[in-house]
Amino acid sequence: MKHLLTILTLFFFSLLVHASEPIVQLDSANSAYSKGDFEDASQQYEEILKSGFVSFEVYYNLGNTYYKLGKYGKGILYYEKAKKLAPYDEDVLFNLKLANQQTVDKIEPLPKFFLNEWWENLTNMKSEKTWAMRSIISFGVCFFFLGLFFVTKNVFTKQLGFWLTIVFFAFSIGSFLISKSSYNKLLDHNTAIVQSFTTEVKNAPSITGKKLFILHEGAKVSTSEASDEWIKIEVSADKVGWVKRADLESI
Amino acid sequence: MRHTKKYFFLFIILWAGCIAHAQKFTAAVSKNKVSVGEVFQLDFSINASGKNFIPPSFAEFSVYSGPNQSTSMQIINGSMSQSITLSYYLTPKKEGNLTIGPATITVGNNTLQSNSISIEATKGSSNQSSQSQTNNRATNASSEQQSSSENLFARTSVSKSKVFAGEQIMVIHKVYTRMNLKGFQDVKFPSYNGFWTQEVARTTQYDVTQENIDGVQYSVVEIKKAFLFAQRSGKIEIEPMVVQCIVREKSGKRNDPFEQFFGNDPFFGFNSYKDVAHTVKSNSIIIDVESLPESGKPVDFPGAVGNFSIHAVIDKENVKANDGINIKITISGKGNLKLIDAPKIICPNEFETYDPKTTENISVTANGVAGSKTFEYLLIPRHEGVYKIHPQDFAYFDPSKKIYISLPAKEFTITVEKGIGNSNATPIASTVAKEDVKLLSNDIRYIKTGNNRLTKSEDYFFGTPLFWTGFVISPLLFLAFMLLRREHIKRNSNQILVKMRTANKLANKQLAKAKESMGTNDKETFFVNVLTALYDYAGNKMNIPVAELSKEKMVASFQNKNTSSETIAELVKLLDECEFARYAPGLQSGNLQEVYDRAAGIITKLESEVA
Repeated sequence: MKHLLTILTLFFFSLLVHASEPIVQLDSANSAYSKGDFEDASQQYEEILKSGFVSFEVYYNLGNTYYKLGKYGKGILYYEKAKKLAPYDEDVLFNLKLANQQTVDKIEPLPKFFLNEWWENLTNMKSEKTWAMRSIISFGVCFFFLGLFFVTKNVFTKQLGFWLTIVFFAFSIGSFLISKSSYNKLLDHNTAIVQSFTTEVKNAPSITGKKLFILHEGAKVSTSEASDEWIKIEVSADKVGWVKRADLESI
Repeated sequence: MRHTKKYFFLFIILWAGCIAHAQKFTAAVSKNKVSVGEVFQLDFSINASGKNFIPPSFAEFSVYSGPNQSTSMQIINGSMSQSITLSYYLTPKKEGNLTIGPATITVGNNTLQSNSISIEATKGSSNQSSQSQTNNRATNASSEQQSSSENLFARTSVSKSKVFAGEQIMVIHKVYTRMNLKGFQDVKFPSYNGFWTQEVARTTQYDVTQENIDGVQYSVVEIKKAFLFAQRSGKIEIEPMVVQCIVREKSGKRNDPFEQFFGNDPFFGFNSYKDVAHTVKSNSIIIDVESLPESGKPVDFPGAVGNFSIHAVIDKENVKANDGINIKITISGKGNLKLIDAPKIICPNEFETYDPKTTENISVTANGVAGSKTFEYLLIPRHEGVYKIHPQDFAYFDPSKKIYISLPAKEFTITVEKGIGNSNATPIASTVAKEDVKLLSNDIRYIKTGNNRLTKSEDYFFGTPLFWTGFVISPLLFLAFMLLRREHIKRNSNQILVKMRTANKLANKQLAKAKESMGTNDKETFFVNVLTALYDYAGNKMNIPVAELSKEKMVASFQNKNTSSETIAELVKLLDECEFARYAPGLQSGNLQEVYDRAAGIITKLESEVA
C-alpha cells in the first residue's frame, strides 16, 4: 500500500514539471513582446520550445509575435499548435481567425458528420491526461462497487453495488477511448501549414511533375505520404498533389 | 441708312455726354501724332456761356484758320444746355514734342483753364510739306483710313496684376472711340478661365464718359465690369475681348469748305452716311496669382479671402430636450463670400445636428463684391444637461496685410431641461438608437502572461507504464481484498468447528469438576460447575459469544438447529433447578448424583441431536 501511494504522488508531480530556467526566459520573452520587440520575443519563445518545454501559452504567444512580424504562415502554425493543446481557448480561436483572414487561399473546411463532431467535441473538452485519469479513477470506483456487491448481505445495497459497478465500468471504458483518441490526435502530425510565400502543387513527387495548383502562405493542408523531399497533401477531395516538404511545416 | 433710327438715340447720348458736365472747359485735338505740315484740328469746348477767351500761344504752330466758333443748344427733359466750341486748324512748324498750353475763359466769376496737350510732330514727307490744300486733303483722307485703329480701339484693364488666390481683381473692358460710334455687335468676352467671376450688373444703356489719353479726347464706353477671383496659383491669362463696333462714316467725298467746319455733324451735314462695322480686339492681360501662404494657415481654413467679420446669434439658451435650437452665423464683408464654406459647429454628441441652411446677400458694385452670407444651423438636444457649444473660429486671409486673421466665435452655454413626455414613455429610448461598440481597429489579442506553467514536450500520459499501472492497481487491490476476506472467513469458520467439536469434551471436563465437589459435598461449587458446563456447552456448540449467552438465546439457537422440544424443555428445567438450588442450599445431597446424571444425559442427547 505504501509503495502505491508513493507511485501516485510521483505521478501527479510528474505532470507538473517545473523548469525554472525556461520560465525565466518565458518572462523575458513576454516583456520583450510587451515592449514591441517582436523579433527578440520570437527568438526567446523559439528557444523555450527548442529546450523541450511547451505550453499552449508559449505557442499562442509565439503565434502572436509572428503575426505582429507579418509572418502569418508561422503565426497560423503556432496558433494551430496552441489550439491542439487548448482547443477551446477563446483568444487562440480569435487570433487564429484573424490570422486566417490575412491569407490568400480560401479553403473551406470540409463538413463533418454530426457524430464525428460530437466525438471531437468530447475529445477536445479535456486533455488526454484528464480523460486518462478519469478512466483510471472510474475503473477503481467500479471495483469498489464490485467489492461492495460481494461483501454486502443487504439486498438493496447489493443491487446498488451491481449497477454502479456497471455504470463506472462503462464510464471508464468511454474515458479510455476518448483519451486514446485525444492522444492519437496529439501524435498525429497530418496537418500542415504552408510556410513559403507560394508553393506549387504537382501531380507527382518530382520537379518535372505537372503543376496542378498553387497554394499561398498560411494555407492549411492535410498531409499523408512523404518521401525525402516531397510530401503528399490534400486540400479537399479533388485537390490532391505533391509539394516540396520544405514549404510546409506540420502542426 | 436703315440703322440711322436705331442709332439715333445713342448718338444723342454720346453728344449729350460731351456737354452735360457742369462748366467744363476742355481742349482736344483731332490727333496728337502729326507730321510737320499736316493740318490738325484743335477744339476748345465749354458747356456754358463764357467770355474773355484767351487762347494759348501757338508759337510752335502755324494757324490755318480759327478761331471758328460753333454753338449748340439742347433741351433734354426740359433742361437746356448749350455748348460752345472754338476750333483752330493748326500745323506744327517743326519736329519734336510740342505743347499746346492751356487756354483760359471766364464763366461768371470763375476763370476756367483748359488742359494742355502735347503733340508729337514728326518729319513730314515732301508731299505733306507742300502746303497745298489739295494735297493736304488727300493726306487727310488716307490718314483717316489708317487712324481707324487710333480712333477706335478696345482696352482691357485690371485693378491689380499680382494677386493672391481668391483675392478679388476688378476687370474692365472699354471701347475708346473718336468716331461716330453707333453701337456694338457680336461682343465676345473672355471666358476668364481659372477665375471665379462675379459680374457687375449693367444697365441696359452703355455709359459714355470722356477720357483724355495723351491729350486726345476719347469717348469711352464701358462694356463690361467684373470681379475675378483666381482659383489657382500661377500665371493666368485674361484673353482679349473682341467686339464689333458699328461706326457711322461719311460715304460722300465732297470737297466742301463747310465740311471742315461741320465735320461729322449730321444735323448740318450735307453728306450721306453709312454704317461700317469695325472689329476691334483688346489687349490680353496676364495675372500673376500667388498661392496663399502655408505658414500660419489655420487647419480648417474655409477659403475666405478678403476682409470679413463674423457674428453668431442663438435664438434661445434654455430649451427642453427634443426642442430645436437655431444658431445663425453671419459672415459679412468684402471678398469671395460665395466661396466660403459653412463653419462647423462643435457640439456634444447629445445634440442632433443638421446641415446648415445658407442664405446669401451679396451685391456686386463698382467697389467690389460685398455683402453677407448667413448660415442657419438647427440643433436638437436629446438629453437634459448644461452644454457648451461653440462655432468654429472663422479664419480668413487678408490679402492687403498678407496674413491670416482668425475671428473667435462666441461660445454658447445651453441649458437643456427635461423634455415633455420624457417622464412617461421615455421617448429618448425610442428615438436614440443604441450604438454598437465600434471596433476602432481589428488586432489580435494580447499574449498570455499569467500562467507560467511549462511541461516537457512529448509528455503524454496515455499509454505510459504509469497509465497502465493505474488500471492494474484497482483489480489487484480488489483481488487482494477478496482473498483476504475469504481467508478470514475460512479461519473463523474453522474456530467454530473446533469449538463445536470440543464442546462435549469441555462440558464433560466441567462435569468431572462437579463430581469432585459432589465428593466433598460442596453443593454450591457443584451447581456452579454444572451450570457452567451446560452454558459453555451451549455457547460453544451454538457459536454464541459469552456476552450474549442467555437462556432465551440458547433456546432459540437450539430450536433453530431442530433440536427436539423435549430435550430443550429438559435442559431449561435442569438449568432452572440448578440456579434455584445454587441460591437455596438445604436440598438433599442425594439429589446431586441425580442432577449430575441428568446434566450428562442432556449433553449426550444434545450432542446426538445437534448435527
